[in-house]
Amino acid sequence: MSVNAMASESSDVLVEIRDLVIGIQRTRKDRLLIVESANFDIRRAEILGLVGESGSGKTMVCRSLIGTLKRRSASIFAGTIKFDGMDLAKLEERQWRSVRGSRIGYVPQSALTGANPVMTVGKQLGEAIRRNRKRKEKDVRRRVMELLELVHIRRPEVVYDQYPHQLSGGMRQRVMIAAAITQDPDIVVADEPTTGLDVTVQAEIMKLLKEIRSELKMSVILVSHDLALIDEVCDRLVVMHAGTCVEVGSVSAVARTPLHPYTIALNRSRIDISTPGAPLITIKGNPPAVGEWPAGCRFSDRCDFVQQDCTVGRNPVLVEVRPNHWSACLHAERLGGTSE
Amino acid sequence: MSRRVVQLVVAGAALAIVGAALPQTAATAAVGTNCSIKNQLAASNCQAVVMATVSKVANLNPMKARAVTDYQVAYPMQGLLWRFDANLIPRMDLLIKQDVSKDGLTIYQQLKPNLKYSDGTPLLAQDVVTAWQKQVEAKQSSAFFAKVSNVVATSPTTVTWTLKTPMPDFNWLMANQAMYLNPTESLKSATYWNAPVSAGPMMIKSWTPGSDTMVQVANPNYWAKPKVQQITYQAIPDAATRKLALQAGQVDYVFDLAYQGVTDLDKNTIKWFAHALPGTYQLTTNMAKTTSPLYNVKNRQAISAAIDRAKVAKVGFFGTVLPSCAQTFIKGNPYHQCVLPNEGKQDLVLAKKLLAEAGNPSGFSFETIVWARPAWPEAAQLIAQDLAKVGITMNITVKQDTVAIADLNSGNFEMQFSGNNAPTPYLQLANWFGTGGAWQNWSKVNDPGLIAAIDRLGSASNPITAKAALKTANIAAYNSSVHIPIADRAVISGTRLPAGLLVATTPGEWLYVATTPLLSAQRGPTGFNTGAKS
Amino acid sequence: MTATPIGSGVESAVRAQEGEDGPRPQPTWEKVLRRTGRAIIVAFWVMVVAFMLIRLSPGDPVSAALGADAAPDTVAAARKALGLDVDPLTQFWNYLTGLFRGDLGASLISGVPVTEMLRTNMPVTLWLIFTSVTMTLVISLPLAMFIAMARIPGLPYLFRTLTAIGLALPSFLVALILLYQFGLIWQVAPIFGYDPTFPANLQYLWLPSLVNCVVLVPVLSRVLYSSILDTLEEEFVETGVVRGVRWNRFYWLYVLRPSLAPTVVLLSYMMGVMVGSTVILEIIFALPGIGRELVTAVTMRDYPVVQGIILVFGILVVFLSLIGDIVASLLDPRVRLT
Repeated sequence: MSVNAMASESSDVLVEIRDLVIGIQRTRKDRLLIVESANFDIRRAEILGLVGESGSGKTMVCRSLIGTLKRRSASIFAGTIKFDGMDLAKLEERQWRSVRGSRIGYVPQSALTGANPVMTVGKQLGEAIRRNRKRKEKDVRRRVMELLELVHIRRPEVVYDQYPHQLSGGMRQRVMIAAAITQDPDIVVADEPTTGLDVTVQAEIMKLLKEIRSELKMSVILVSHDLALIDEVCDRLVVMHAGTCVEVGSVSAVARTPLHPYTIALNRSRIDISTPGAPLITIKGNPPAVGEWPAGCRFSDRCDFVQQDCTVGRNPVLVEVRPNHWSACLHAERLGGTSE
Repeated sequence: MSRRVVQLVVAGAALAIVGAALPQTAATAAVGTNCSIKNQLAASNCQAVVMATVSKVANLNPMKARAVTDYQVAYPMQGLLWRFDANLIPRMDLLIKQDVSKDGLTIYQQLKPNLKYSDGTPLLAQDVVTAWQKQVEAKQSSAFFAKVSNVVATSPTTVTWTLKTPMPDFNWLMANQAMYLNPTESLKSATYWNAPVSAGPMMIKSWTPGSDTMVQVANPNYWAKPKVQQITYQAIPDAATRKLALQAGQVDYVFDLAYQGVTDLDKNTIKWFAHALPGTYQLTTNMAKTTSPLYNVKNRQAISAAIDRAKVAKVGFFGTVLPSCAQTFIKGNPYHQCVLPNEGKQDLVLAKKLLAEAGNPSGFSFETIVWARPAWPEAAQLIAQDLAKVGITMNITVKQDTVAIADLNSGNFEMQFSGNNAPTPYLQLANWFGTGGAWQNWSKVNDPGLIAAIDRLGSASNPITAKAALKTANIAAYNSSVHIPIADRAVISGTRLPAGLLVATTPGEWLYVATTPLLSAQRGPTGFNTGAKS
Repeated sequence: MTATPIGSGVESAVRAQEGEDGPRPQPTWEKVLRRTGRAIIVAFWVMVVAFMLIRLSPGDPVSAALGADAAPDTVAAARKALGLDVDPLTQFWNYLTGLFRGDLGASLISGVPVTEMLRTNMPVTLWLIFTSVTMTLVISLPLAMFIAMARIPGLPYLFRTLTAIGLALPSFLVALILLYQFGLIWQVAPIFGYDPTFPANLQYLWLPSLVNCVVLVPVLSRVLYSSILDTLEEEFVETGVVRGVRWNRFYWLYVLRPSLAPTVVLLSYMMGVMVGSTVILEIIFALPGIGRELVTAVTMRDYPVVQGIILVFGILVVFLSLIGDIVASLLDPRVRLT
């Protein structure tokens, strides 16, 4: 199977996600599946983009990486998340403590609500530093200052004593990034980190993530519904639709020669600000609601290239159509290079 | 690490406080004595008793005291020449002798020798004169004192009263709060009534004005020995709480229990009783409203005939009171006789006849203000139901005492449901109909014939003429029917104490403390004017 | 103005601050002073209204004090002695000048100075409120936390039902039931009375406070419960989990404290309401509190006592709300002191 081929691909693979199934156990028999098939790798020091419309399950995949599915009443039903010899999918709450923060950092979705409103910036960052290593108060403060400077906060000595709501959205998100990297984790999970920010600020945050990756040699998973925003900074992309990874590949490959009709549609629906008056193209139909997925390919209802065999049988799995470029479209070969 | 220790210590301390508080409350909960109505031996254990009052003591000054509690606590700790015994019979207290002249116009009193107040100040005959002067100055009990022309202290232990007319109720007056005896010199102090001395059986041990509790102890300078050595008066404003406190044994005597639920008190430990107040519930007409249908006496008498007084007494007041059959109160009234038509029983035929005579056979409607006191509005409702049977509509408005009094003062009422107390039938009638009487003033009734009849009662020189005069006055009162009597008044008390120690006497508002020798063992004076059969 | 509307204060404060960059002003003495000044003005108006209302209501202290059968010249003398023989405006001026000398007058009935009544009876009411609030917090905080975080099916439903029942029970009924059960049947609480010394007073206060809890705990724990649910939805809780914060710090700093502001504001408001509503408990438990004095004074038309107590109540309510706002802003910096 081509999925297995994926595993043997490279030695710099940090996390290996295989056949991940996430859902909510509503009653003893009734399971609501939110993610049905997630398959991808996270490589060392790469920025991996995770794109998809809301409801595609990308946030759930993120949560499975930081072990907070339970708080949303969700759980992993099957699959593995291999990370440094551990299977995160089967980790006990106690074991998670040694992974969260120190191995995997987290940048929250909204700059507005991601920071604890009742703690000063210095306290929040200090708390994360103090956690594992016994440090003197003075050292903690120095380290916090270092981190704030690292994320390009002006006047860190002032910001240190400020509360999150006293900061602008951009600054707040910088602080959150600083908080995520305090313990030098291997991976930083950033779930839509630019929601609600100005376009210019968004770009700055993206630039900051890129810097951190290259300076600290961390892997970053960047979740977004906005392909245009992240393909500048990402090395590779994972495209999700209706709980399934539909395409995995390098940014250049996915952007230039998409192998899945959904990716093609996503590419087309970007607002082309360079061409004034150009029509705004949207993907037709709404993403299928969780639990109301069609038979066969989940995109078949909305697909421009739909064939008869697309609407029957099981949800198609990822296949390595080209080297290092996987697609879950049954007719991927025929799509090759159709994107402009 | 250390923080966790601190947390544990704090949590432990909090638990310890709660834990320590609980058994403590259990230990101190029982503050009443272990007296029991069943255990006659317990009388000696009842030296210190706790009495629940309906309010705290507001004022001990008899000129200002208006609350029941004020009367109750003051009575045992004030000196009196005569004192009511448990049956409302006045007995000589600080007097050793009282003689009346043949014409009944001069009364000679002799005090017991060497009388002292609780602080050791001698009690002198001048103090009796002072008590009288204070009353006259304040225009209190004026119906009585109008008949007194002079009071003279003829020696340190003898007093001579000169009267304008004979006073059959003289001893009643002497046993009343009007004649509380206090040192003439001390009374000049503005703060005297914060800590008055006593020539009565009890005296104040501890009390601060405004506090909920007063403690009285036996007065060592009193001529007799009280059977209880200490009384703690505790204000418990809520009737349900008073009942619980009595049941829990935390108080020994409770004044004024709610009508509802007294029957489920444990008969083995608690005795409850309704004691009549010397007063009457009545409907008072505003005679200044000349356009009101109530201005017509036939209409008022129709109301009187239509009321089922027995039902009001039984249902409205839970059978604790007697239905009226005359204007004046029944219980404790030695001259009582029924005068109302058909002995006050409901007579709808008579009521309809009277309505027809008045020219409104189909009835009429009027407004009544009812004082917001326990069971009063319900009783008024029963009356309204009775009146409806003959076509009379009585609209009821319930008002607070002070508001109702303000309406009385301003004449802003058509009729009021209220009650009138007095120590004697004469005073009751004088207050209702006599010139200057409060209810006369409010009702604006002016009936010279009736006033003459009341005056004859007031100066009756022996029990037989008094009885006849009361009947005549009561008939005249019915002919006027400005105040329509409904029923006697009563209050319910409960006690854990064996009989004969402490009782709210028939007037209800005076607390009687038994002594050795008993007041009733005192020999009364010869001749009439004890005011009661002796 | 005096009490931040429940729930909305936090969000609006957040919105107002959005995008600002400078240091946010902390609750300063200036602001506290300004609020204090406003509080005194409000208390003054409360006093003026009380002064007018008691005089506009029918009935007067002289007839209440002297009773039914006082002679007209006695009444006139009493009116003069009580200072009621002059017009209301002069009465008000006399009262006001007395107020500035710290003289609230004396009871028309008992002659006890109002300041003396406040000194002896006010502490009882304040202690009752204090113990009620302490017990309410001790019960409500863990309860709301547990219900919100335990995720036991059916428990929130049970919680809502029970609190609705608690809210619907009239407190006089609860008081009598508890008094019957604890005082008479189990005999673990005194039925009446009070001891003014601490901690002996607690043995008289715990049962009436428990009655207050029956009403307060449902209100408070429901508000806190829904605030905690809202907080748990927020992302910073996730951040806290990922950061690996220790459980005690987590529950306090990430769950409880961000949820407390509406509860604290509500509590300070409820304390203000309690100042008036404890009177029913003071009557039933025979506690010599100031609320009972007020009721007696109103029925007796005891003008100076009514005015004095209402003035102090006004000050108390306004300051409780101020303290509530200060505490809320200390607990949650998003809440601004206005």
